[in-house]
Amino acid sequence: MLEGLLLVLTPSGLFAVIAGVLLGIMVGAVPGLTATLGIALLLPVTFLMVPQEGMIMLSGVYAGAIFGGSISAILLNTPGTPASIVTAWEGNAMARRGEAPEALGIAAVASGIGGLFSAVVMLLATAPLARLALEFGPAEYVALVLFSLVTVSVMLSTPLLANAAGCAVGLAIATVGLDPVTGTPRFTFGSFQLVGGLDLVAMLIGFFCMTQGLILAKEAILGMQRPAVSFTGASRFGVVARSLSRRLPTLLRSSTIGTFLGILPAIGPETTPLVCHAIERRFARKGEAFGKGSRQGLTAAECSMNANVGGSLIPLLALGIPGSGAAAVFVGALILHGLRPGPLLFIEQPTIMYAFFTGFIFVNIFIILLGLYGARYFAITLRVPKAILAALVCFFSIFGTYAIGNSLFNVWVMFGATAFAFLLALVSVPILPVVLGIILGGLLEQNIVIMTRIVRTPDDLLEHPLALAIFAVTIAMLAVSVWRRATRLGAATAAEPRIVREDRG
Amino acid sequence: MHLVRIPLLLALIATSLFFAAESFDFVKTSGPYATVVLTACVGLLAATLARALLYRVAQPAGDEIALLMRGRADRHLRLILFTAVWLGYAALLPVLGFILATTAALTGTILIGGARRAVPVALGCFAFAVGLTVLVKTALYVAVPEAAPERWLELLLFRLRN
Repeated sequence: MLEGLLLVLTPSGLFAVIAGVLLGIMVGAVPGLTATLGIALLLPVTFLMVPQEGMIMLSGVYAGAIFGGSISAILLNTPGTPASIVTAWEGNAMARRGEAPEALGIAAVASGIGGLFSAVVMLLATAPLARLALEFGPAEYVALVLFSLVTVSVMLSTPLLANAAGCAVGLAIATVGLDPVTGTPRFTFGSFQLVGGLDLVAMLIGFFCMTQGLILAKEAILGMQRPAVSFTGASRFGVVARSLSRRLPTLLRSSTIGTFLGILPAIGPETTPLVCHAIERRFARKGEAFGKGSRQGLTAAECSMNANVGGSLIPLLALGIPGSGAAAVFVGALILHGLRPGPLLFIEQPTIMYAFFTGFIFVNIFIILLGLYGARYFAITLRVPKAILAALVCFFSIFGTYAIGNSLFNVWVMFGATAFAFLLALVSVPILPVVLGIILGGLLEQNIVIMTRIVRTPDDLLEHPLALAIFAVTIAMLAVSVWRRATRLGAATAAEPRIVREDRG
Repeated sequence: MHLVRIPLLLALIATSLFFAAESFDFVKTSGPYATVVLTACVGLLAATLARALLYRVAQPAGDEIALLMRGRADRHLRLILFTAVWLGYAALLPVLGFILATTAALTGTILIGGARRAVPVALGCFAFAVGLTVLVKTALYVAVPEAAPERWLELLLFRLRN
């Protein structure tokens, strides 16, 4: 671990921390540019770096972008990223009362504290979890992958069937290329470029970046303007520290919940602030005006958002299962740097892992400093016209995809993924289950094949109690979700028969 | 929206069915995994279609799709043109080289996006393309497609270094 710390404390290590956070905040501050997009676009830049610095920089982009989204949320009431919706409710109300510097300061420090909490949990929990995962056999892996896919399907607010269809579509896409067990080429149609399968990073850039570029272009064409940015004064550390010191239980609760929800697949930083905000409302004293500029609400939202970032990286590093869309892009980054996400990372590359953990701690400390003293300057990025932004996002999507393997074929794969993402949106199938299916498809297939050779009868499965327990939890979760959704749908149909009938007509 | 959704779901189901049928070719060598996954895919998409037919507006389209559908026909045409420029960029990159293709595509799309002054935009895009090429050749080492301008730039950089 000390070796990891020393690697971060080199000039290039610190540069990775600073550059990552700076770029992340700049990306996050611009409405329309998400953390996932930032990571995917900056992925090729990390080619220049050694793996641990590249990973630290991308974690800085991730955490920085999540915080950056709060700047436009507070100053303009326009969430920079979907995660900052709650921040816009509370932070902008404070800004309208003339308390923008304090709101920005609370957002920065609470974000940093949430991130630091999750970094410590990551440091302490990932290695034991990975060691436990090393004991896993194929049955446990199959159970875990199915658990992740079912969790995504039941947690998203879109219809369960559409979510499950998304998972199946993702798993189907993952079958393109060589069969991982026997090496038989599948769906390659004679093309040698498809033998290795569809490039994961190219698809992720298509799903998350190019689509966003086209949406920004439409906004520019429609002439959608952003409100003018007003600069605020500097945040005062004393004021922010006093405000937060009175809310230590909120910080602790939100950090814990944020990290825990981050570990679960599908619950990204977008959902966590809503959950923590609702919980804090119950704990709030009388007179705390939630939704109208509550410091407690803002603290809870910000703290949980960045705690979620660290949490989502824990299952990725320990098990190879991403906890959010942005963490899914991390899989691509690890693969590009020759690292295989999963428990073996700790055996093969322990120094890189510990350097990454310490780097993530530094990332969050830097978010606090930069957020406190520089957040208002990042508002300048809001002045970039949308037409330029759209063109640059599209350009970097193409350039980034090309740079992965100097291949124009990947660029066409990226365009195909963009079209596919729009098609899925049109048929209301969410993209996250598809991405998870693509990432976990190979792992699932490989382990299913081995499992079917080991586990021949139901009795054989009794020798794998952990797998059985995960299967049981998965089935129970699915059953409860189906029952709840069916009850809700039934109640809605009974309450509004006329509307449903009209809809059908 | 519903009128678009149903045919698209049908097209997705048909494509999945095609691949499911194709997967039977390698069941013997590769096992039934791909067939099972694709059959599940067909089944779940069909169920989604059935649900869409039963509850027509129960699942509204996302904000992004709604945004893409907004506006008059000329605005849609401009977005199509914007997309076509980037598709053309990928196709013409090996022919025009990185600097020329990037300058043209960026200038074109920024103007389509609504920028007014063509000359400053074009000059800015050219400077950006040259700057990025220098970065690519000196630090990033990405083998960008080359034409005459890239070769001149490479020669210039070589002379500056020696």
